Amino acid sequence: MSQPLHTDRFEYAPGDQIQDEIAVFDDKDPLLRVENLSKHFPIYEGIIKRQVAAVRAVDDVSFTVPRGQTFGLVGESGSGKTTLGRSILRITDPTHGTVEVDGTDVTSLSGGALKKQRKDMQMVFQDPSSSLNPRKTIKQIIETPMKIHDIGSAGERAQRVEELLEMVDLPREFMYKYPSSLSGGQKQRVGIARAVAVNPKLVVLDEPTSALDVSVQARVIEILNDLQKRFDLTYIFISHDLSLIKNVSDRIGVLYLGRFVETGDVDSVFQDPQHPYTRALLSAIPTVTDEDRQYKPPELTLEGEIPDPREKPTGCAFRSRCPEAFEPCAEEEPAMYQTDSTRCSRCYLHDEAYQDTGGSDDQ
Amino acid sequence: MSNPLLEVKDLHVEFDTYDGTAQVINGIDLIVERGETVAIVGESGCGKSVTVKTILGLLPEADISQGEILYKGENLLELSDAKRHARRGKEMSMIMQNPMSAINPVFTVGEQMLDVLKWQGQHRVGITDWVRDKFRSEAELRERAIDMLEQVDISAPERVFESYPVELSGGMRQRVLIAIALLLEPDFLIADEPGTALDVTTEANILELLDDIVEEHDTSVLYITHDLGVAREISDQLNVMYAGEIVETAPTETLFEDPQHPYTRGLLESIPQLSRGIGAGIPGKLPDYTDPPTGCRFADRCPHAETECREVVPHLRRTEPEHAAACHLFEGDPHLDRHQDAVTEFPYIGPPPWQADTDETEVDVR
Repeated sequence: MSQPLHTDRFEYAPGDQIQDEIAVFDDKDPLLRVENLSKHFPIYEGIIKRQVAAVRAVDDVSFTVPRGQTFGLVGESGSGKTTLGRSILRITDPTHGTVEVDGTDVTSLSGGALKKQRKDMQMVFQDPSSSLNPRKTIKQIIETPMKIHDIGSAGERAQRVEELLEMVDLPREFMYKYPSSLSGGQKQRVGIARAVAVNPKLVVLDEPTSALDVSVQARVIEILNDLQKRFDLTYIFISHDLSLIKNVSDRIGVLYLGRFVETGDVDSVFQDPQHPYTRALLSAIPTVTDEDRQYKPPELTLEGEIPDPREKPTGCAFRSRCPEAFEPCAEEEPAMYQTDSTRCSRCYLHDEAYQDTGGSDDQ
Repeated sequence: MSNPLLEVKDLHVEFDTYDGTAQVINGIDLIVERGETVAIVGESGCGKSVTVKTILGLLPEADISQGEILYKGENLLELSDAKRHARRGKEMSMIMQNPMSAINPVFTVGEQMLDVLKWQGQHRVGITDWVRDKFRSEAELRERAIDMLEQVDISAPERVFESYPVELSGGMRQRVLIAIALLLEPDFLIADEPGTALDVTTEANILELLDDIVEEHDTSVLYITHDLGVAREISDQLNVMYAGEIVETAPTETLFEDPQHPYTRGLLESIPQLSRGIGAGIPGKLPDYTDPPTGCRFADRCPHAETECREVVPHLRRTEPEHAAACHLFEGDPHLDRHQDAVTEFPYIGPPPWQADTDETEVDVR
């Protein structure tokens, strides 16, 4: 690519206001369908512990993920990425909304049915050192999900553990080692083996490589890609590293204070980000090559930090840091606008009515 | 070149462990010129933090078996504890990696800043000084502290001055740490991954801020990071470190234009990029420090290693006027004075495969 991808000035594509984000992507038979999902944490105060307010950690989020694809969730710390991932798996129970995994409404299940459903949905955690029990051997760790779901005899399970270790490129001698004698990358590979042990359909990867060095990260990503192809897995990949998200996802959602501000196909979002927040995130990436520098939009520095989620700004939540903010932003939260066939962005700048007012200071 | 602020010569640091002596730093040479920002890049466990902590003298349990640390021409390792203590804080200062744990949670930001200003790194305070302090006005010091908070772009410095660390966000705390580190206007500042615990947007702000302040005060900075992208944005000179040795050193832009050492190339290739996919990474792991390989410490993970690599230590050689790499794939004069006589120890197994046959084996890093 010899030409810079971005011009010096931002252009905001006009778009149509939409109510239903899911309809934009029109996936036939998606593996995961999340509709209006919210997770609110109540705040209690006073002697009688009356609920005075709620932190809306995830607020009305909708998206679908086609089978065998990867959906990337990006955002700063405190944006609700992890809470969203955990709500989808019902590790925490969502407040509103529905989650359908392969046609089954997960949010309505309970008891035995939920336990059975969990076989299809697994998670890989962020910190490999604290997510493996230090007093169990690698074999016991990988075997546990199979035991819980009552899969196979002891012999078959041992066989399966060996297979899994081979898949994540670890020698079979590791079966009888303890996590303490493994390096960070090896531990995370054990975490991955444990997640795929029961043949899940959906795996939520919560920053699976943020605790690892780059040279190790590359190998872990490669293993994840192999497994995805092999078992037709659907991933939700949570990360704050945009370069990584660009390389692993098919579609991404940018979260800000629990709301999607931009969703779309990964290539189009990275080549021409529509929401000011996405632009700011992209322009903040440190790069190592000149080709990468062209990917970065013109500099857009954000003032301050993500606000306290208990005191969200009125109107658009991003208003307090947005360099493009103008009058309507304070009044009411903007709806999603569809800016082209594969993208939605939550910003008034896409509204025909404001096309001339906002966008740049020189107008 | 004549009068660098800091010069580390052939530094060796060892630790006694139950498994034997760990030779963590194995002959490091480092020069920080006045007003320059020098970066050390390497993965976790490569000895970056040990190096800077040795420079500051924060590792009493370490055995510095060999080497010199010359600061303004004076060997720090020969100074008494009290004298070194006086250098710390006043002349050299450090920004710690984790803003959550580097500030004392039970004192307000202001109290901690005033302490630094009042005592200026004194080792012991006599009773008379202490009593005198009780009757001294703090107004002037307070003004200086608030002024410094303002310089690090804190919007409400008075309020932050009175706050406890828990009341501040991560980015704020990192700014406070920077402010404390710069309070006494040190000549030399060590920054140990100050952006790692922060979000990308906050990190970008902090880097910019550090750049401005350093320029304004003409401070020399030694910047430690594992992120080559960050190092590229902030540094003038870059040192790549692997297993306690510096394997490549060059001015930052030169290094990114022509990375030479296979480790540097592997590292660059592993970084996920926007324009190109993720590379294969580097197989294997760091060698055991208690039993390091006799030859090149990277040989076991290196795709180009030959028998010579496992037998002879590759000393840094000057491959280009300002570029040195510690690899047998390159020919060149010894980079360091102490290797000047040992010309026989520089075998040449190159040329590097990616230069010899560009069409097939090129590892396209750029």
